[in-house]
Amino acid sequence: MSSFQVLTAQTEEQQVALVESHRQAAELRELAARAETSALRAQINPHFLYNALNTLAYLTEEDPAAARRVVEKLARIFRRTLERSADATTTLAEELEFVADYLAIECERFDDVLHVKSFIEPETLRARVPTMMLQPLAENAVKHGICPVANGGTLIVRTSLVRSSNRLRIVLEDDGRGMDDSRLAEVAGGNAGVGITNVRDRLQLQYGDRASVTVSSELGKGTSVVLEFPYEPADTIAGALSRV
Amino acid sequence: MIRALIVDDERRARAYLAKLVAAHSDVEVVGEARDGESALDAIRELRPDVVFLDVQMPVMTGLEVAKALPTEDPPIVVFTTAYDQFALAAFDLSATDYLLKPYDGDRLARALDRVRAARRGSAEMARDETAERLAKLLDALERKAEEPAPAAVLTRLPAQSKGRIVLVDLDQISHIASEDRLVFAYSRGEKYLVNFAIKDLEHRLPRGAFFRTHRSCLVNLRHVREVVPWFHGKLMLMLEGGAEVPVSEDRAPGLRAAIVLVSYDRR
Repeated sequence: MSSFQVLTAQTEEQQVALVESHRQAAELRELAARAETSALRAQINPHFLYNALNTLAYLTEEDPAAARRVVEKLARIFRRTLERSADATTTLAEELEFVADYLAIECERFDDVLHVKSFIEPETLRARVPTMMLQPLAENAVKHGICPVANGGTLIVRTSLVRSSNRLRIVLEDDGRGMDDSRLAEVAGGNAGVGITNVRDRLQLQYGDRASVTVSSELGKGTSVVLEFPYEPADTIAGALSRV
Repeated sequence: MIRALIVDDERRARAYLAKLVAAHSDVEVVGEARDGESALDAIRELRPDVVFLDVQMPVMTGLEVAKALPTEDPPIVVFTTAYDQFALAAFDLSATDYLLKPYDGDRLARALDRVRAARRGSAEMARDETAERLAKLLDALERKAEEPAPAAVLTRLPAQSKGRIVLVDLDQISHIASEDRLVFAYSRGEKYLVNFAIKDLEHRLPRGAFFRTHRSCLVNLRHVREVVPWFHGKLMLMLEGGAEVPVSEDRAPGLRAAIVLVSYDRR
């Protein structure tokens, strides 16, 4: 064997090893991401549940119709949390339904301060999105944005397609307390706000540079979080493949 | 008459508690507040005998309100909370009274009994007791903040290798280190992906067996073959199996205390 051949053989071997190590690294990342999401999903905030039950106890006598609505929504939230914990992605339609149930209960809890509006582009509903990604963001907006303001505020959820780049855009904006620049820098830098950091990590793992998370905020005016990532309709081959 | 103030950021939670309190003819709800600041104002103005104080409120938590209570003639505090293991442990430690949500009429009755008993005693005694309890609570909370809630200690470490979950013997692990935000355990030449953060593992591994050498690494002390003095007060650990792990300067004294520096002394 000439030294050249030996060199080539070694290089090939090294390349295989390199490819293999890259593959393993990718696999590990994927596993880590999945572990992260399942841990996250299993974690429906107990604080939220017990508060919801407290509201329910009040409503059963004061407003039985509202109490029934809360029970229905809580049941759906339980069911979804228990049943779908294996999937890493879902459709935007299901994700929005989950967030709507969650927010409906929060609206019963904070009936005098919290208002919710949504503007949904019908085409976006088929989009495949990471599971349980929006609820933590909605929770942040309610807890840190709107509730601290005495007069409350409105959370607006918007979804649209950015046709030029074939990306899905999801916006959550509130007119609540907002953040000052230093706090915003912390949140944007991933040093605060578990919700936003987690969302950024998950989108990054799944889409790399093709995803973006933009947080803007002004103290006393409100906060907006804009997510953009590739639009993959759930019922196409591309959408199905992206899940494999 | 017992004069009560209800503090909670949820209107309906306030209304519900007020309704349950109304079942007690000797208690009168004299006011409500939806945040910490207006609670303190109301306490100064209304001088209630008892304050039902929600722990989780935005801007100023119930605990912060308790800290800022007037020292002269403070009201009896009954905390209310939906779920907060952290606070509950502190309440129990300091014998502070609290109500869990959803509210429970019997539990409320017991809390009110304690308020009545405290009022029957001398005002001075009640005041001292309240102050003492509060001090204990704050002390417990501060200690809790430094010392995370104890989680179950692991006997084997669940980890992933080639798509399977394996339970790795702790004795066989030389060290656990994070790389690029993933955490790996090293055992007998194998590398396993671990689904724990290093800082959580530190408290979940048997005490004394593993040492945190720096932010991103835990070392099994039994696998340390050599301890080598390094630059700038650092140490370098040579592990069985060939791995080398640095010990940061601030942790070096702790390591020296944790290990018998046999190989170091020979050098």
